[in-house]
Amino acid sequence: MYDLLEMRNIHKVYPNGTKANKGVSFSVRKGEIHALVGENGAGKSTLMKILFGLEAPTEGDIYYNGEKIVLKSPKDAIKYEIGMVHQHFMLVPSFTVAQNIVLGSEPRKGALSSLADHKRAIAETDKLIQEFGLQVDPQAKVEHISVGLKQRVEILKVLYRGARLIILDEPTAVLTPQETVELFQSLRKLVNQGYTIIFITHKLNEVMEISDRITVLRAGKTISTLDTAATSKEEISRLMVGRDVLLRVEKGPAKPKETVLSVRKLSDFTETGKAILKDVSFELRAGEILGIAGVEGNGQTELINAITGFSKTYEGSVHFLNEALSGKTIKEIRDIGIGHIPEDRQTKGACLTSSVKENLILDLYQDKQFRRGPFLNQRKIRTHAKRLIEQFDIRTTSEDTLAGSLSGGNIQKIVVAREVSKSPKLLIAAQPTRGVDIGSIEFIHKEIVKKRDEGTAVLLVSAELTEVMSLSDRIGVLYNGELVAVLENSEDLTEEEIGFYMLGVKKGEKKAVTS
Amino acid sequence: MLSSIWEQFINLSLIVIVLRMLPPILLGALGGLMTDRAGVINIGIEGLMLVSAFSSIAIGAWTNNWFLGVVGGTAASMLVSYAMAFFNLKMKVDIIVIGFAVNIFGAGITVLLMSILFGSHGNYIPATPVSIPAIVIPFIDQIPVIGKLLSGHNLMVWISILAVVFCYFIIYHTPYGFHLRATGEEPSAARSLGIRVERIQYSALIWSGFFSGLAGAYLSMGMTSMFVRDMTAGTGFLALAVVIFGNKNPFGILFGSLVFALAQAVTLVIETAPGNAVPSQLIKMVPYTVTIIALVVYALRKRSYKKIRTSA
Repeated sequence: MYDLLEMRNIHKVYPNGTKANKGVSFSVRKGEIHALVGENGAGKSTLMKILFGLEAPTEGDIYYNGEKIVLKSPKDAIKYEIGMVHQHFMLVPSFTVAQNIVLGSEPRKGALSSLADHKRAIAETDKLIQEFGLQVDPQAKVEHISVGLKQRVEILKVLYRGARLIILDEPTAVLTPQETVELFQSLRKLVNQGYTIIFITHKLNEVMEISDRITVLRAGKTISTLDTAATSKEEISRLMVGRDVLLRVEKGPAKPKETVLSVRKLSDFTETGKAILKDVSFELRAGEILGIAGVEGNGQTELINAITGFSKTYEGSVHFLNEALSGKTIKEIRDIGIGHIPEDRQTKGACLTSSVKENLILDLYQDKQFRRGPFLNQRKIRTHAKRLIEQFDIRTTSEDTLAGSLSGGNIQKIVVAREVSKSPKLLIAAQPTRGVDIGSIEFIHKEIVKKRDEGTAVLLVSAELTEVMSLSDRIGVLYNGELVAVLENSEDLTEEEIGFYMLGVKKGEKKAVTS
Repeated sequence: MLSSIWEQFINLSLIVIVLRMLPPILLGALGGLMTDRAGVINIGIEGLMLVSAFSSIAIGAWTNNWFLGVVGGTAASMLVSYAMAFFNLKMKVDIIVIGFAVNIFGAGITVLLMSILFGSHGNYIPATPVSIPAIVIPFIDQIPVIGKLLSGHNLMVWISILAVVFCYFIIYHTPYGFHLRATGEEPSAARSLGIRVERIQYSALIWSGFFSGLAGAYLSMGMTSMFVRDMTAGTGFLALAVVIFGNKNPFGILFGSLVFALAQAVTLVIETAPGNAVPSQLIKMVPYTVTIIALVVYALRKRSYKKIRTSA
C-alpha cells in the first residue's frame, strides 16, 4: 500500500483574512479508509475543497500517485479520479436518479451527438447499481426518495465519473442508524474493490468503527495521523480539542419536584388523515430530564411542534403548570417560561443574516429592558450580548458579526445561550448537539444539566442514542407515533434494550408514565 | 353586436385574429422560459422587445429588406441581453434591477433614436412599407375552412409555433437542456459536476434576447407596419405571466399564450363590432383581467398539488 495522495504543507487564506489552513500535511494510502477528524472550523472542509478543486490553496502542493498536480476546478479533480460526496446533497430534485447520475457527462446520441440519450443513461445507471450493489430505482425522481437513497445516488454519481478516491464529507449526519450500517457496508465493499476513501466526520464511534487510519486537524494544522487499531476515542478527542474531554456527562441524581408539563392523549395527523402521533401521554417534572429516543421521523418533530405552538391541529391536551397551551400563540408560549432549542438551527433557531447580538435577543426585543421608548436600546443589547458571548464561550470576532459566518457549533451556542439565559421553567431541547463539535457538545450538555439542577424541566429529543442515554433521567421511546416505553435511566439500561423499542420489536410496560 | 361577434367566430376570423395576436406573447414567453429555467428571471423582456421592434423596422426600411430588419432587430435585442448577462454575472448586479433598467432603457432609447433619426416622437411609418411576409400555401388556400386555418398567416406565426417545439427539444432532450435546468434548480449541484453555471446563464439570457427580438420584429413589421412608442403595451409582462401559467413548460406556454391571444382577439372584435355600446376602457381591461384570473387559477392549482404532495 503506497501513498495515493499527498497534500504537503497546505495553507489557505481567504480574501477576508480568515486562515483556514495553516500548514496541513496529509497523506492517504491506496485502498484504505482514512478518517479526517477535527472540530468545526478546524479546516477539514477547506482542505477537502482544495482537494476537489473548489478552492485554490494559497500555498502548498498536492501529489497524486507521486506526481505533482494542480486542481483548478472540480473538472480537474474528476480527471484525476477524485470524487466528492458533499455534506449537503448536490442533487437536482426534479430529475430522476439516472439523470442526476449522468448530469454533466450525459451519454449522447443523434446528429453531432446533440441529443441526450435517456435509454443509455438508464442502462449505464443500472450497470453501476448491479456492479456495486447499491440498490436504487434509476427512474425514481430524486425528490421522492429517502435520505439514505439520496446518498447512494451521490456515491453512484461519483463512481459513474470514474473516481477511485472518494471523499465523503460527514456522510452520516443525516442518516438513521440502519442507513449508517448500510453505508458502512457499502464503503467496505468499495475498499475491497480497490477504492480509496477519505471519511470526514466528528463522530468518534464511527471513526473507530470504519477507518483504518485517522488524521486529526486542529485550528488549521495537522496534529497527528494515527492507526485506528492503536488508538482510543479518548486519545482522539484529546487531540481534537487540545485538552481532556469528558465523553460522559457528569451529573448527580435528579431531584424532581412538581409536574411542569403534562401531555395527555396527544394525537396528530397528516393532511391525508394518517396518524403521526398516537395517544402520547407523559408528565415531566421540574428538575428532571426526560429524553425522547427514536429513529427520526417517528413523531418527534410533531411532538415538539405541538408543545411549542408550531402545530395547532393536534388532538388531546398539553398543559404547562395546569395551563392549557392549545389556544396560545408561539410567542405567548415562549413568554410564560418555555425555552425551545429547535432541531434546525439554520431555519428555526437563528437568523443567519443577522448579527450575533441580534440573535441573542431574537424573542426579547420587545422586552422593556432592551427598549428606550420606541427604539431599541443598543447599549443594553450590546452589553447583554457581550455577557452571553463570554459566558457561553461563543467564538466570534465581535457581537456584530453575522451569525451565518460562524461555525455550526457556535451558532448552536447562540441558540442555547438565548434559550437557557431566560431561565425557563421548561426547556425543550431538540437535537441540541446535531452537527456540533465535541468541545461544544460537552459544553451544551453541561448547560442542560446545570439548568436541570436549577429546577428546570428538560425535554430532550435526540436522534443520538448515546446523548439521550447520558443526559436523561428518564427515557421515552417514540416508535411510529406511539410512546412505546418510558423507562427509568439506570446503569442496567442498555442501548440494545432501547434499540428494541426503537425498532418496534419490543413494546409495552408504560410503568413509569406517571411516577 | 353579439351577432357580429358570433359571425366572426363562425367564419373563423376570430381564429385568424388569435393567431395574429399569438407570436409576441408566445415568443416573449419562450424567452422568459429559457431564463426562468436557468434561474435568472428576466423581467426585461418588454424592453428587449421594444429595442428590437424599433431597430428591426428602422433597419428593414433602410435596407428595404424585411429579413435584414428581423436579423438586425434580433441582434440588437441579443446585444442588450448580453449586456444584461454581463452586468448580472460579471458585475453582480441584481437581475431584477437590471430588468427594470432594460425596460426603462428600451422605452427611452427607442423614442430618442426615433426623434434623432426620423424627427418624430410618437410613431415612425417608413415611406415604403416593409413587412414580414405572410405564407400563402398553394392549393391548400383554395380549400374552404382548412385554407383559412392554415394559409395566409404571417411567417412569424409559424416560427413562433416551431419555436415551441424547438424549446421543448432543447430543454428536455439535449445535455444542454439538462444543464440549464440543473443550473436553475440546484446551481451548486451543477457546479460541483463541472457544469459552468455562469456560462449557462449567459446563454439563457441571450436566448431570451433572441426570442424577444423575434417578438419585437413581428410587432413592428408583422402585426403592424410601423413603430409606435411603447407599442409593446405590457406584452412583455403578459409573457412573464404566461411562463408561470404554463408551468414553465413549452407546451403549457403555447396553451397559455393561446388563452391570452384569445382574450386580446375578443377585445379587438368587440371594439370593432358595429353598434358596440361597451365603453372601450372596459374592453381594454379584458387581457389584464384574464391575466389576474389565470394567475389565481394557477395559484389554486399549485396549492392543491402541493397539498397532495406533502401529505403523500
